[in-house]
Amino acid sequence: MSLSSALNIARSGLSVAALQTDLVSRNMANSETEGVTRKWASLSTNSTGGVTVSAVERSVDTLLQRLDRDNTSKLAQQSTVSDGLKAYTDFLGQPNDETSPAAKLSNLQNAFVLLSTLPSEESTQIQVVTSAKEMASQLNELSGTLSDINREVERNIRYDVSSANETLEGIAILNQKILRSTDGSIAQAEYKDKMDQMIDEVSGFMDVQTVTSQDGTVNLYTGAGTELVIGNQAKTISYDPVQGKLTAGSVDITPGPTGRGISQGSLSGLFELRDQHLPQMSAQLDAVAAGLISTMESANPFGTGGTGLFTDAGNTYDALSVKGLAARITVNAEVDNTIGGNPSLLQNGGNAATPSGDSSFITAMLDQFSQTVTVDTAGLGDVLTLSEMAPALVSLHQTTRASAESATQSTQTAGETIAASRNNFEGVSIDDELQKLLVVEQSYAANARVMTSINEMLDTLIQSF
Amino acid sequence: MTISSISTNQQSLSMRIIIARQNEELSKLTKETASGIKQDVFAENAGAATKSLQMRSFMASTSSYKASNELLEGKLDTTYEALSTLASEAQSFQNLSLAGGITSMNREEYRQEAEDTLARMVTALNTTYSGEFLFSGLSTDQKAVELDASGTSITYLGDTTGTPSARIDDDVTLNYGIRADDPAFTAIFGALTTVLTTNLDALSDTDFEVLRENVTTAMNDGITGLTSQAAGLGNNQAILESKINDQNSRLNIYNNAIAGIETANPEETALRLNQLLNQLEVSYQVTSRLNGMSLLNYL
Repeated sequence: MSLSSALNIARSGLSVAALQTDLVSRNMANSETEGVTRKWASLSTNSTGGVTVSAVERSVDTLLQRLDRDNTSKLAQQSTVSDGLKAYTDFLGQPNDETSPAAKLSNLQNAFVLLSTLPSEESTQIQVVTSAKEMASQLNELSGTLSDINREVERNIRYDVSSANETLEGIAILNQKILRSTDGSIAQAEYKDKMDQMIDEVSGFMDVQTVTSQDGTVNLYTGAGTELVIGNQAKTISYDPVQGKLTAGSVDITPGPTGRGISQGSLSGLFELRDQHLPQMSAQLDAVAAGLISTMESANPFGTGGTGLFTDAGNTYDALSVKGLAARITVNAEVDNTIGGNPSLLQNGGNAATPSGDSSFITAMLDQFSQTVTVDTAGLGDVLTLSEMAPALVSLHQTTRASAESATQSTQTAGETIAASRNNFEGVSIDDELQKLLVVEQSYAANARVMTSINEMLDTLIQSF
Repeated sequence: MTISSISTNQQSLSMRIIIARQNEELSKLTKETASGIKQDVFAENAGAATKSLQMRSFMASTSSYKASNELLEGKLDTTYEALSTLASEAQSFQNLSLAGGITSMNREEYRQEAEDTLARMVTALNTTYSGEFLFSGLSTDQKAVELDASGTSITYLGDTTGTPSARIDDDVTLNYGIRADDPAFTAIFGALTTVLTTNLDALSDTDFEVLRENVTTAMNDGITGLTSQAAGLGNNQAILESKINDQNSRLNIYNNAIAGIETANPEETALRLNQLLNQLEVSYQVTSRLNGMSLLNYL
């Protein structure tokens, strides 16, 4: 009886060694696979004295996981904002770039200065018209860029919502699989790895918190506590582009200062761009356009209907329709020499009897650059002259971008430390696994040796008869 | 017992992050060394970048005022030259009128001199600068004066409402024009027309003497007027020159301030670049050594 029980014990040692080798080889093969945790066998002695695998353990630390996910959400939110802003501010340029609207406005002012000395010189008049056209088209382009980014943001919100829904559905399905799998099995450990990867993925879209039940299933909530996945039921996230609302099931989770909105993640970043930065930047571009149209019009209303150098798509300035003005601002066709206009209107103010050396209309327009604008500056500054508007716009927008980038960088640096700790805890050290393999190999050889010895002992016993 | 180990993947990831950061910084410093300008002024110091942007705007407007003022300086110089020619023509006729032997001289010669003087003065008054007539008031596209068919009198064709002015700096205007209908010119032309329209040969010596007296008085008034105009013009030239000097100094100040903000300090950049290259070299060596360190090599 004791020899056969020894044989069973040795056999259990062999099968445990085989399973351990399986785990070591899984660990080493997946040492580069993201989201796969290091696994090992938790061993115990069975009632007959043999060894058995009580559970396949995963190397996870819930605190590190939570910190890393928080950081992922925060980083996703900040980098979404800074990337969105950078796509626009690249067109604003650095102070020394000629592409900057500040440089364009300054070129226009300079052309006016020259024209005030040579008021009847046609080439100088044309230079003013050309600089004005460059200024207007720069505003048109910047406004177009903001609209493009806005469309991109809307598209990305829809993509993110659809990816998040897929992932939430995947989590609900995994909950079922975990429930059905054998407790402590390799399969369950693999499901849990997959579960963690999916939760990591959701944390890139929004801030989440998890509650793990005794049975190993995970319930997922937003940072503010709205249910996302409960057991095998996933809520559907939907986006209403008209109202600008985001809902999970029937609960409003639109990012914002009030309510149960999400506050991190790429979706939160996209909403920040959509509701805060882009409308504000558009309004400020419109304010510059409004400043140009209204001041030039009041100084020299030479055109039909009292229009000036700049028009709102051919019409005079209307304080009630400033929205979208940066996209509509054009140079008055009546002075545009390239389409049959007459640039000398700048000098004579629409009155052919004005003497050719009279520069009063030109100096009146030039004076506008150093006078405080009366239009709503949309937060560019309280007291601004026309020539200060473009530099104020460029520096405000560039500063917003630079601070968003610096916030992203510091979150990234802080996050790397946490991510490294998590990876070290969950990841595989090949050297360590090799050392474990040596021990397993020894144990396997020893158990096999025990079996050989028992076999020999039994043979001896049989031969003695 | 729990053994905390370093994940092989994380170890290589950390080294990759370090090297990627160093390469990013290297690219930035290389650009700054090559261009001499900071790569992102707004990121380095947002407040200073805003200042620099404003100063660039001041610099551009000062620089264009300066360019426009230099152009105006040329215009004033040309006006001054024309005015000198006019004064010297008038003075030379006045000298002839005042000469002692005038009473007995050939009166036709005197008349001829008046006619020539008038013609030369008309030419001088119709001087243009960059296509603009200088003595026509605001009608710079219009000739200032025209000699009538008989060649004895002139008509002013220019504008009578004002004189040209130019903006020489923010909120500083310079009125600089001289019109050909100025009383000084009217007096000179009146005197010359008198000589030309009178039958000089028919005058007795006494009458000629009266005419000569009248002509010299009128000419004297005119020449005095021209001198005072020339003084006013010279004053304008001085104002303009001092404005240009002032603008030059301001440009230097702006330029230095902008350079201080936007320029990357070459010594500092070079030093940082050098340090970074050394760090990067060490990083490569460590990465290579770490990759060589594995239990696998001893099994």
